[in-house]
Amino acid sequence: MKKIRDAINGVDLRRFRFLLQLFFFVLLVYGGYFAVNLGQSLPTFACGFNDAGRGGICYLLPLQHQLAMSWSMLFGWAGLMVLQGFLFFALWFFVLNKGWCGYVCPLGTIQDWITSLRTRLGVRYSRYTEGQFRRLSLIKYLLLALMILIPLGIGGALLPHDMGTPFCDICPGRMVIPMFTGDFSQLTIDFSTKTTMVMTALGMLVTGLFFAGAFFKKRFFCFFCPMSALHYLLSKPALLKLKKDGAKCTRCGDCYRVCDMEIREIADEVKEPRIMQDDCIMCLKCVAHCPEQGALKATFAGIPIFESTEQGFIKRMTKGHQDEHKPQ
Amino acid sequence: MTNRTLLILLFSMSIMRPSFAADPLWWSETMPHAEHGSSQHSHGGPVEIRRGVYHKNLWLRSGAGPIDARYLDGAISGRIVLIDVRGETKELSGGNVHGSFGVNFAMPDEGFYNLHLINESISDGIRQINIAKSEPLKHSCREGHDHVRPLMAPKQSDQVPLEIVRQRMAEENFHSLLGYGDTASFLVLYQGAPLAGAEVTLHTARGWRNSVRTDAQGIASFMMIRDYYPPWHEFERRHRQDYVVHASHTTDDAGSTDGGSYTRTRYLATLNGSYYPSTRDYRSYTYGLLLGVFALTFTGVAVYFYRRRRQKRFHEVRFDEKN
Repeated sequence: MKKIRDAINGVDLRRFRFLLQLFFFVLLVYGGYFAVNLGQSLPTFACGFNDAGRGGICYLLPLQHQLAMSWSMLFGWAGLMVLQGFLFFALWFFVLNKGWCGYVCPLGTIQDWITSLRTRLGVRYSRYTEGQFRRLSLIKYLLLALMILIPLGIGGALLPHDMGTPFCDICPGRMVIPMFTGDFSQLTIDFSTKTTMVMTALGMLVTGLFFAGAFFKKRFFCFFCPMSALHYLLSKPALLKLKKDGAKCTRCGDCYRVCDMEIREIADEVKEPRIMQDDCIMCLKCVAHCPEQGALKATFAGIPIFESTEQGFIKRMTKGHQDEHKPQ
Repeated sequence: MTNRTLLILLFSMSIMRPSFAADPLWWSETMPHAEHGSSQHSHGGPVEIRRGVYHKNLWLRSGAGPIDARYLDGAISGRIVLIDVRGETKELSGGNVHGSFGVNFAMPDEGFYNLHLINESISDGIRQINIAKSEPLKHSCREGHDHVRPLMAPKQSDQVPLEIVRQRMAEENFHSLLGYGDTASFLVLYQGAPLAGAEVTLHTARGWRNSVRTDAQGIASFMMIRDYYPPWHEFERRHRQDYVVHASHTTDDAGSTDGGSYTRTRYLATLNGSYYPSTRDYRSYTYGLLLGVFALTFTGVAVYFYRRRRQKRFHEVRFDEKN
């Protein structure tokens, strides 16, 4: 048992994550070709606009559709359907917590691939200042609120119906993910109404920003993702958890330096064992790069599944060093 | 006597009227009177939801195309047969639906329902058999999409002599809409077998029509034209327009019935449907890509100059050795 545990704790997390992300990318972007259908309540960006290849549908699309129903229906019997959809979403989410972002999300995977490209080109990455970080972190809650309020306004006949899925209209996933199955039909401006014109233009601007942003900044779009905000609101009862033993932390700051999302609390917080923050994507890079035995750990239903160890840290660092000096 | 009572009385009297055999009969999903606007729409057709079950209204119209066909005030003789999603057949009776002759039936299951009216009359020694068919769809996204593919195949009825079967578009699903520029294909079956050389005519909402003959496989195809040109601020992407397709076939079958004797038999089948603005209409790749590339380039250049500005260049500090 100890051997298995040591093997897991010493795993090459970078390679493991790359392979797992690739698997989920194929499953969610091309799964439809293999009759895979994981339903329409997935807590990740399996884009519903990817008609042919999708292996499931991101929950935000049906949620916005459902909330745009007329109020008499929404607050009547059809409201039960909305609750049912939310229940399935929550059940999916409870399994992996924010691991959906770090390991499953196709849009997150694309950003990680762009980051790899930047690294290979030798371009350095950008970081936010603490003030920028605090301000930008709030945008996802604003988008979440708008994503709920706008469809509700449509249901109450307060807003035009062609704004029915406001977040999908501006989500880069709508434009980017279908491209992987050869569908470029979303790369357009829809001039049919003023509303669609504005929303699709915004969508294309965000898409351009997404590519440039993801090139310079790791997981650029995840800072603004309303799905991430929704995740955090439900994260407490989830099975997968990230924990920190503050007594074992030496505050070396390694965990903060490797964090794609620049979460300072991962290094600074030593009192609260539940360390996961709203921006966390549970990639577990912080655990892998922590040299202190058991200071950081991922648990599933209370059982530790991956924890920081000195041996694991040395093994990964040695391998990384060897990779850097390997002849190309 | 109230207006409502008068309407019911007139409607009851009109049931005794002769049938409208000379003109084609077809089902319409468009409500006869705009004031009955309280019902909800699913895929463009009026539906009513009663205790959570969708009920479809269809109205019978007489005339060549949507632009000039009239709604019927009174009932018409003949059988009305419904084939549900499971393939089960049942007879319906029509009646007054919001002031005109029509039918109302429940659609409890997801999928296509096939409604047929078979009406027969003899005039000038010709026996005319009208077959009006409609193929309404019941779908609610709330019930998911896993079950759609097996339900897409069109059904054929063994109860009608001449039938028009709409062929499915490539990759068609419950959300697919026939748009301008798309090709609609129809299979014409006579006694269950494809009928080659039959004349098939399509009438659109604005009065355009086109006639073709079925090929050796019994298929007739039409490209839907664009005939919706509103001012930009009035354009609706989901603007539904009706079309109706007729197919006729005449045989030398002679005989006699209660209505008299006849020397020939003419079959006239109709099928109604809807078409919409093309999803490609009003869309521009050029502007979309220009905006996307602009955002990408602008951000890239902005980051580059931001970084350049923050670089602290090496400045050699020289001290004045005299001091």
